[in-house]
Amino acid sequence: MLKRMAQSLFVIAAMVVIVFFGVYMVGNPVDILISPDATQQEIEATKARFGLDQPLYVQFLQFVGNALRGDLGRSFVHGEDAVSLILHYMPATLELATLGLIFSVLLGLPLGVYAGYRADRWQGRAIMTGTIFGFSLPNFWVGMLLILIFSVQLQWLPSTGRGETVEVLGLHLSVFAPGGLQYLLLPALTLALYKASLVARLARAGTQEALLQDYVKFARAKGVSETRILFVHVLKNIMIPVVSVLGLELGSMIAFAVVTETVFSWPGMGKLLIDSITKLDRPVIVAYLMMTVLIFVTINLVVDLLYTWLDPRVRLSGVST
Amino acid sequence: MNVLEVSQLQTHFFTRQGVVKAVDGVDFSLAEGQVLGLVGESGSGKSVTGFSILGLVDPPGRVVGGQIRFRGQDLAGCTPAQMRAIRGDRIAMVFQDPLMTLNPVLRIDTQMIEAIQSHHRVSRRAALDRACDVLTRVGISSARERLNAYPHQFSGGMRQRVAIAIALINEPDLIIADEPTTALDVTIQSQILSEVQALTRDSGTALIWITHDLAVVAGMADRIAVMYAGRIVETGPTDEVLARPSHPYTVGLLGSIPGQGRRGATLAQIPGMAPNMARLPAGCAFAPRCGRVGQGCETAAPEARALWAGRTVRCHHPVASGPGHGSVDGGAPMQPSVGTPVPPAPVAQEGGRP
Amino acid sequence: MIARRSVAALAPVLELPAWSVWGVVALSVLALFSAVDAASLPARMALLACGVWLFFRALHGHLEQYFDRPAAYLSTAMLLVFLVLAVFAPEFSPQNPYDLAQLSIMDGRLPPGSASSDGALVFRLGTDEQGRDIYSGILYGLRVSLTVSLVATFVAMAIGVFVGMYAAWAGGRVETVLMRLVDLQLSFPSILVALMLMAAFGRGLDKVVIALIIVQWAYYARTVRGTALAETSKDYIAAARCLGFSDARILLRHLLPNCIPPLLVISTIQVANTIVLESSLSFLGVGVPITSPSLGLLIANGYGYMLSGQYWMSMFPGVALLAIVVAINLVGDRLRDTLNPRLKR
Repeated sequence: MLKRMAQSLFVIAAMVVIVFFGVYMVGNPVDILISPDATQQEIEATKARFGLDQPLYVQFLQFVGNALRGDLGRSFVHGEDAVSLILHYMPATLELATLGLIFSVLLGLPLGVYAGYRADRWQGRAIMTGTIFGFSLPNFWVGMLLILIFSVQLQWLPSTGRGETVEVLGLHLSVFAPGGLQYLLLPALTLALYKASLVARLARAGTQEALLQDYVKFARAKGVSETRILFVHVLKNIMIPVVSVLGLELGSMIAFAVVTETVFSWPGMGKLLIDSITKLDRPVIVAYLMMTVLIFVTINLVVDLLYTWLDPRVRLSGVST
Repeated sequence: MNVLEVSQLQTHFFTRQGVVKAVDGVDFSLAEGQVLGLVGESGSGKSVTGFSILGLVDPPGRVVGGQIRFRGQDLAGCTPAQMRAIRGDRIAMVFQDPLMTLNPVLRIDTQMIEAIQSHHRVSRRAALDRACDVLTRVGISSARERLNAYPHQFSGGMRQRVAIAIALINEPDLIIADEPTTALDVTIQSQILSEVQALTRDSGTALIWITHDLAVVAGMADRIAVMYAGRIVETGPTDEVLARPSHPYTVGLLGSIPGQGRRGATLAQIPGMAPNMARLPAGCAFAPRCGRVGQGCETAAPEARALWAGRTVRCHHPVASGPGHGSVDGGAPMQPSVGTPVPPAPVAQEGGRP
Repeated sequence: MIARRSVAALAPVLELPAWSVWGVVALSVLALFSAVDAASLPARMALLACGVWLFFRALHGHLEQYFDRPAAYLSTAMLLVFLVLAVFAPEFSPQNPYDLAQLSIMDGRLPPGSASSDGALVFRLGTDEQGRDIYSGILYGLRVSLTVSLVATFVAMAIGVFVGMYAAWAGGRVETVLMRLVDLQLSFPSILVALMLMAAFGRGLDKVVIALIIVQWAYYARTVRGTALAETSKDYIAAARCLGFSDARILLRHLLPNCIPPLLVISTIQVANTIVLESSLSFLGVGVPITSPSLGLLIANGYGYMLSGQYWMSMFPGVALLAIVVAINLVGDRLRDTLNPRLKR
């Protein structure tokens, strides 16, 4: 347990170093802090203020010091503190990513288990071919297609933007708001498709292996129904590898949300990032990077804990894998 | 009426290397409360026989012929739903390795309750009580707490008792036990043997005990059936088969039990190896290893013949031909007559065989 | 039946020695770079032939099993068609979409099937807002997408194999440090890393390739290290050591060939993933430059027009992208089933 925490801290520290030196290598660090069209006076003032004429290690320490205080610079475009800007847009992204993850499990797991059960028949093969399409389609293309079908042709769901929000625990979420859910559906589905395909493949492989095990034969000998065998006996056994993969996928969902948010103009962190890249709003980019690292490291830790809890063999014998 | 009557059962496996006739014409019957010991070496088809009765043969295997009459009903013609109703309720099975057969991520109570609830509509509470009772019956103390545990928290012997408890839970008419003690320590083995014997006697359940070890069934079975290469080569009441074995294979099996000969004498064994089930020789399958091989053995497979009431044998030249008669060759059947040097002719023939 | 006949016909070709494979590989990489600049026709034909030959050589001994499914024929054929179209794009496309002199704004936004204003061409798949033939655009875009992905995958694989094998061979602290680096990189999703790199580099074809290489190498390194670790404990390596072979020789001639099979499957699927990644980057505006658009960029350009009913500018490149990625994935899937020893029942 302690070892994992130490590893996580190492990762964060490594990222801080990389980001700092990356920024420093790419260009004048002054550029990162000031708008491109600042006057010479402003440049000089910033230099002095941030101690940019001082030796490198002092600058590094200042960077770290500022970072620990939550100050990673100011966005030129929005004028606000970069960190608070990102935090403002984060709930939207987290909401999208979480719903996307849930959809991918709800879609992929049953399909995968059924495909594993009927692996040699046409149903299993058809589902497998479907999953190949699922992870071949680029994220943005799926989004475009869904918009075309559901917004333009059928006019069932809105194509862009975010609906009303409801405040939950201090966060503004739209999933619980009456008008909000419909805006979430298409983006979440788009995000989910890729992962659902991977989940389905994983579930199928796991189910195929599980069905060869003796405990399935024994359950059949007890007269247990096939449905129960599939969805209680087999499912619980394959949950462990599936969950351990999924937990890490939440982070990846947040990453892929960048594309989805652009397609659907969903006001989240990802769209903010793209806008910042196009407008060269460097403080925001740096802040995004650091925040993401933090999120990832936290997620990895949580997944480890979850894994220990799920596998009773690991939990009860007290041995960590 | 007999609980179980199996006639001409055939289960074949259709593999890439050819058709493996794992079970090829098996006949036996079992009366109420009787214990049958099905004996044979690995690959003889005894486990497959057990699975065939319950319809649990996995592809590429399939029951291709024969009848399995359970209380008069032909199991081979049942629909999957009907079979599922019978499995676990009227016919139960105990497998060899309880670590593999109990689902490691589900608790014991879940696995026991589902055995009940798959067949009877009872409340969870009532099912739990029943599970508790039967666990106590099989000798697990503090059953109530044990129910909350996971399989890996039990020792091997305890796990097997749980498996036996699951088999008994719906009070079936027949239990098929597939080498249930092979994976256990010898001391636990004998314990479980006697317990199962007592349990089945109390409840009047018929029992088929599948094993490769003659010694195991010697004490507990009413009848013995010996299997070789997918066929039953000898059946009869236990005492008789052990005292006066008729088939040369049975003779060899009995003779190879250590402890028979004098101290320092070489251990007797049946020469040769188990046959390749994908390529069985024409004629009697035991002929390549038989000390009594003679004319007709290699050309025609012997049919099952009744020796006298209750005993059948599948051999052209059986050892005992009547009650009280000695063997045709002379010499007590219990001696390792097959392992000792036999007349050169059969041995040389055996060597020349492909 | 056809498969068996062609396998028999190809047999003598497939028996060529291993070093020839490396020679071909090197040649192909060289030719690939020159192909980006529309090199001579014979060079491109040789390149394509080498690629196909390499593929069949890799499947040496498993060909019948590979073609056991009808889907294998279909997907491999489809892939071949796309490759031919991409390599010979200048020959197949009716118009060079990057030659501004050939374009006329009068031909802009025409639906599929319409003729050009001077009647010389038929725009089979319509035109975009600048009058570029979508069909030609797709062919050239396919070329860019494929080139970028193939080169990036190849180089990343080379780097990854080198690092992975060295780490497994050297062991100790070297291995720990290298693997920590690999783990660090792999704990982040590729798209984020790629985005960050492109944000730092700016736009440009070579920059995209470099970014894609940086994103991918760690994956190969980890896989190869695992395989190499398993192989080094096997007897033939110990035997080679006993015979006094130099480290380099053992690494290159004994260890490397045995690490290749899993790599084959992975790299095929990675090519597909790279195509998707590159198109996502281009769609977001941080990928390839407008002067050499890939399929992703074409889709992005046409996106705005799609909602107003002029679907062809985005849809057809989209279908092409889908088709090539699906074809590669199907082939990769089939490769995995064929070369995976565990599934042999």
